[in-house]
Amino acid sequence: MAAMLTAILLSCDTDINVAPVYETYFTKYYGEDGNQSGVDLAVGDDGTMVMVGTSQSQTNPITRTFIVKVDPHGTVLWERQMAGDNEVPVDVELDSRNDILVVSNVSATGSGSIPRASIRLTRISQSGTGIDSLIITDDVTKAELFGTAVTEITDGSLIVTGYAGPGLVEDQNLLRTDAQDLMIIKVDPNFALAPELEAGQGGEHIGNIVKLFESQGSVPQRFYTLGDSDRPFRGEGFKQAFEVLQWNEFFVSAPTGVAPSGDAQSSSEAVVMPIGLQRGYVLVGSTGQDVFKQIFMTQYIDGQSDLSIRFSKVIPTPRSAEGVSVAYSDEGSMFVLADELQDNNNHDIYLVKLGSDGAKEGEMRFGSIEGDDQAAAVRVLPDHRVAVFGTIELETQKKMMLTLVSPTGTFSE
Amino acid sequence: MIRRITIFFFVCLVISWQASAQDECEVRLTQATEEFNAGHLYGIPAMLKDCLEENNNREWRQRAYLLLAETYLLLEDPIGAEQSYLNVLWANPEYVTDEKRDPIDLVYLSRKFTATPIFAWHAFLGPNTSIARVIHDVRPGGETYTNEKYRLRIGWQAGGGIDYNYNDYLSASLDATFQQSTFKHETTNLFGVDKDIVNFMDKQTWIAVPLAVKFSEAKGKLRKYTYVGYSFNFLLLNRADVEIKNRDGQFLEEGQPTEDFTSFDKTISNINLGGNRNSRNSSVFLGVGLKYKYKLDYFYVDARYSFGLKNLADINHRFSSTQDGLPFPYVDDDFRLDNLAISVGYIHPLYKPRKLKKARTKSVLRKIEKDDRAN
Repeated sequence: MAAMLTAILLSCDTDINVAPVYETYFTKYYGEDGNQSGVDLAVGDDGTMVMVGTSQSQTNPITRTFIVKVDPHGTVLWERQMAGDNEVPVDVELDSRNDILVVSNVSATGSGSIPRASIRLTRISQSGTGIDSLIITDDVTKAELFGTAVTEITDGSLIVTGYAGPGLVEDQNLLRTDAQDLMIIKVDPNFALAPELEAGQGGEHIGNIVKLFESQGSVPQRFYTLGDSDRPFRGEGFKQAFEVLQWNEFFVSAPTGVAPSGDAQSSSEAVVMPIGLQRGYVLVGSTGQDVFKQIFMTQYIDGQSDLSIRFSKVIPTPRSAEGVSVAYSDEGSMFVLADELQDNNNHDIYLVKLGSDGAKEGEMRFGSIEGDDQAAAVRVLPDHRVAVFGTIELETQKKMMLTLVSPTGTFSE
Repeated sequence: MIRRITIFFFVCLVISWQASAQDECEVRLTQATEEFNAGHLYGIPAMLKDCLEENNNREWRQRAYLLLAETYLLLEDPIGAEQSYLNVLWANPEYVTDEKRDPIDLVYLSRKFTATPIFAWHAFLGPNTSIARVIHDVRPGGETYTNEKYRLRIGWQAGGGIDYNYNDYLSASLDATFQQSTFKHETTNLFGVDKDIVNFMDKQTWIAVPLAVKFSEAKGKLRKYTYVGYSFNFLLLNRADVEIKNRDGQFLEEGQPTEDFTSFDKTISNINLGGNRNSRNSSVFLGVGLKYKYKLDYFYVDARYSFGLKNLADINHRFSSTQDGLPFPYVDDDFRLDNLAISVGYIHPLYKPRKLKKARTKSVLRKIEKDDRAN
């Protein structure tokens, strides 16, 4: 009898024998009044995460930047609005000081006397207090500037990349109106000096640099920009495709770049990743027609003097899907996050795990079945958990969604 | 009309015939008692034979078989006496001889028999309320100021079962219970202090098989009892309604919030949570009750508190259905579910008069010996 009682009591689930897996693997929603949309996620060495997105109250439609820092369990450490009205964040990074850098695009109708679309670069401490902020605007050519990312280089300078509206470069021989030029802007490490326009690459109707990388150990300095354009150096005329350009220390580009063949491609995000003992990069985006797109990715190897394509790959999905973000793990896997179109014309967030050769190893979907959900970023945490960040459309509102899953895509070990 | 009149006359005829037969058997029993008192014993069984075959009045049959048992005892026919006393117990399973009222040899005979029911069946119905016991607090958002509370709601249960009576005091019962239980989970301060409110009404349908050991009082019109037990519980259905109050601060001027809120409310009904919950569960329970004896059966009122043993949330599938339909800010805590149930019920003992393997006659023998010494 005593043994039976003991067995029954021992079978009782308590906080001693029920593992707190919810602390490690979870889905949590973040936000404030109204609708919040996730844009980007940065992960610190300590596993803390900084999320940026936009926020719109249902009673006041002004778009504000919303930033949240959470601990590795998803608990909010601080959260607040930042910057001015009608500013849309596009990138969050941690610099070598462990400060938080946020790139936002500032609408011309936004705060202050900003006559045209500009970029705001903001530096925030890990405690959430603002350190400095800088508006980058083009008063010379009067081009509209749109940032996509910021990169800190060896000398501490910050390189903001993206694209500029018409007028940045006097393009010749274009078939139609020049819509975009690639853009590289250098910002003083202390925001002390005025930002300098380092490059405005012409020759394309449309184009965008999603990320600039500094080739490690290269003397003199060498940079690569990954993105897309319709530059006709592929011999296929003006066709939008992935593009890697090599730049010298003066941000002058080589006459030709590296681009994969295939259907039209548009890029979303690039990250650096090791390939064996070499340094490599992976660029993700989408390919195909408007009605049916598929995830497209290219992996590059940083050679002694140039960059070469290791492989390009279309990741087949049953529905139209556009790659949004990519991350890699120390174990050699890659994770690609995409927006997947559903039968009801809404999107779900689609996570696919790939081997080092790009072969699909697993997949998982997130979102509400009736809502239009959006992927924002995928990151691998120091403890190998995979963070999926995006926007979920709940029944009454949109919220930023952070999901932590195991490397196999499950909510447990 | 003619048909109704015919039925009426037929019913009257049957009733009057039965009354007549009853009266006749009463006369016959009176005559038999007079014969017994006069010492004319041999003719008594024959006198009562016809009525015993025809008259089903329990009270009359009890008196008739008692007379026969005493008669057979005096005729030194133990087999006849035992069979007659067994028939007394069939007529009234709760008949108990009285040393002051009944002849001592009849009392002695009665000690060889029992009619204590081995089995009894029961049925019950009543309200219940579920109490969630949180193992781990899991929140839909990351804010630490978000509050979560569980509120009691009323469900109901119905069921039946069988009791095995080891003796008059100790029994074991095995039930099958159909239970609708419900609770409310209230989230406040979500996405901001005094902002969103989410009310989650959880409705569960359980089949439970409780096994209990019960200690009861054995005498009296009102009999108290208490019990402990273990229950296997299977979650058949788990559905929920969620009410979302999406409260935003009201902006009267740009950037100047006031204390007013505009609430965008929505209710989603009948959400299936089957994939998020552990369907197999178990509990231990304690209970007390009071039985009211009514004729040979009982009515009872019962209070039972069950301690849920298992985590109701499936920790591996708490979030897995994100895509399949949890488009609202709620997530299960790790929690056990206790339950307090009040039931009223009915017990029908299945009496089985039988001869004991070991007769309880020692005390009667001692009294006989004492009386003999006194005489």
